[in-house]
Amino acid sequence: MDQYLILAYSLAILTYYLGVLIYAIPIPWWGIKKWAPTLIYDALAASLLVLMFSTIVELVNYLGSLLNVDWQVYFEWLTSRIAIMGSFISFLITLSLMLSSAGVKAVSTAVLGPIISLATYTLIVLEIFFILGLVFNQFFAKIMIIGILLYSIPFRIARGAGAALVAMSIVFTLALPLLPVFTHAFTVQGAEERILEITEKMDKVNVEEWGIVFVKGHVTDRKGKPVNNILTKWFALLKQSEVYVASYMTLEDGWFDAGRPYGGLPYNVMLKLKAEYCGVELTPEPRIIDPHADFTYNPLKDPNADYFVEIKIKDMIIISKYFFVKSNSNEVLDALKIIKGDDLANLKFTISKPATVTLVIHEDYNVDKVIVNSTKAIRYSKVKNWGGVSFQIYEVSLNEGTWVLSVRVNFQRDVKDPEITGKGYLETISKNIGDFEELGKVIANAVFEWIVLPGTYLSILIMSTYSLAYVIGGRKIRLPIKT
Amino acid sequence: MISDLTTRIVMAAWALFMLSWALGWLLKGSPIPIYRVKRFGQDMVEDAILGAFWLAVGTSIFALIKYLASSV
Repeated sequence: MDQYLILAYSLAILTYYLGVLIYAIPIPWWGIKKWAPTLIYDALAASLLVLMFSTIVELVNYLGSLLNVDWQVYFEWLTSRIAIMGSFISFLITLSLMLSSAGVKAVSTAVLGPIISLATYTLIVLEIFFILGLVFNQFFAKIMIIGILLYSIPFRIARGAGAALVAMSIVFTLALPLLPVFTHAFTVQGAEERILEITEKMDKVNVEEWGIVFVKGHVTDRKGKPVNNILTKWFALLKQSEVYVASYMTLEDGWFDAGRPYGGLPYNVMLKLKAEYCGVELTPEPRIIDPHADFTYNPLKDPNADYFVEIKIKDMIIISKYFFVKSNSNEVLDALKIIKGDDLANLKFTISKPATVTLVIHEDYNVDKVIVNSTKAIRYSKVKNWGGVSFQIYEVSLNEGTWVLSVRVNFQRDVKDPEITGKGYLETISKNIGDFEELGKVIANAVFEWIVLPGTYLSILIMSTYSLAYVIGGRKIRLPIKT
Repeated sequence: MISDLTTRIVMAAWALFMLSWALGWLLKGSPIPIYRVKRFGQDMVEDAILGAFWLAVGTSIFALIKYLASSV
């Protein structure tokens, strides 16, 4: 870059002698003669700038060290925010896609559209500051030399531009790295923390990778009777772990609704299904579900769901609502005959191998014992609490033979439903989605912190640059001139 | 190229100084009874002197800078 300085110096000398030449010119024309003192002054100022170049650079470095200027901090501040903003935008886009596929496209367009735009603008502004930082960090001296060179061109052709470049290189190199300190002084809670909070919630359910499908499923017991209020819990099977994704309760007709808008199940990952009824873990079939193979596509059957699935609980038979038989022996369940009266239920079966039969009965049925073959009374062995309701569990171990289990029960009674609710795949996210106000606040915070404050700071720097440029290049000195 | 140009301009400046000096004295000393012409001649001489002064000062300063720069 030295040759540019030499060039600038040569231009300054040329300017000086041009001034002198005009001084000595014997033409009484003020339009020309007025240039003489101006050119002499400009040449002296330009040669002073050239000779003081190293001093100015050193002075800027010294002032920088006094002000604790650290470009590393500046770039780290920007890159971390750019990364956060990038992931936030991809989060918002995923959310928007999800909402669209969930049938609430209007919400995604009306609310998320502007938020995504604002987030993109914020990202662009941060990128611009990053590039500005790179330019002044890398090319501070070069910008100043070019400024001095322009400043030295005779007849003030590029003097203004030169002075502006010199002033800009000084002001921006000194003050731009202090941007994080400036924004920090005006913020209470960092926008990055709030954005991270939101995106972290999203990370747990990886909708983008897993995909989404809207399903309705029918749950029946071993004999094909619909099971109501059974909780189906869905897990995504990953390489080393299984991640809970959603749970759905069946209705009176045995159907669970993983449909639009807040339902849904993952589509691109193997699923594991667990079923829980009256606090007892049951065995559904299929247990491992491949959504591509096991879900049946039928877009015309229901407006809220595109896929359907049949699930059979193979180790239980429903006797009444919240009253069922469970057994580890298929023989028991296949041979089971249920005779239901108004206040009595008889379960009759024949087995060739010893087996355990479990009866689970809602507390409101007021059952206190199960009578085996009219001779032996069995009390409940356990009580399970499920959704605020107690369920009595009778475990009966039997040898081979024919057995009749009698339960005196009042089927006319209304039984209290346990307070268990499912949580849809989209519902976890919709908690965040539903809180649009929160999203709006977060983006407003980000815009203030990462657009308004840096913009203000930039305008302060530009004003300072303008003032300094005026000091460097705006003056005129009047030397005496006669003609 | 620029230093070549500068040398030429310096020479031209000296020549113009002498021209202005001569012209100035010519006008000032001419037997024309118009005050403005005589006054213009005097101004021209004054400008020529100032021009020569700045020329001399500039040449000295730039030579000094060159000497300092080459000796450091």
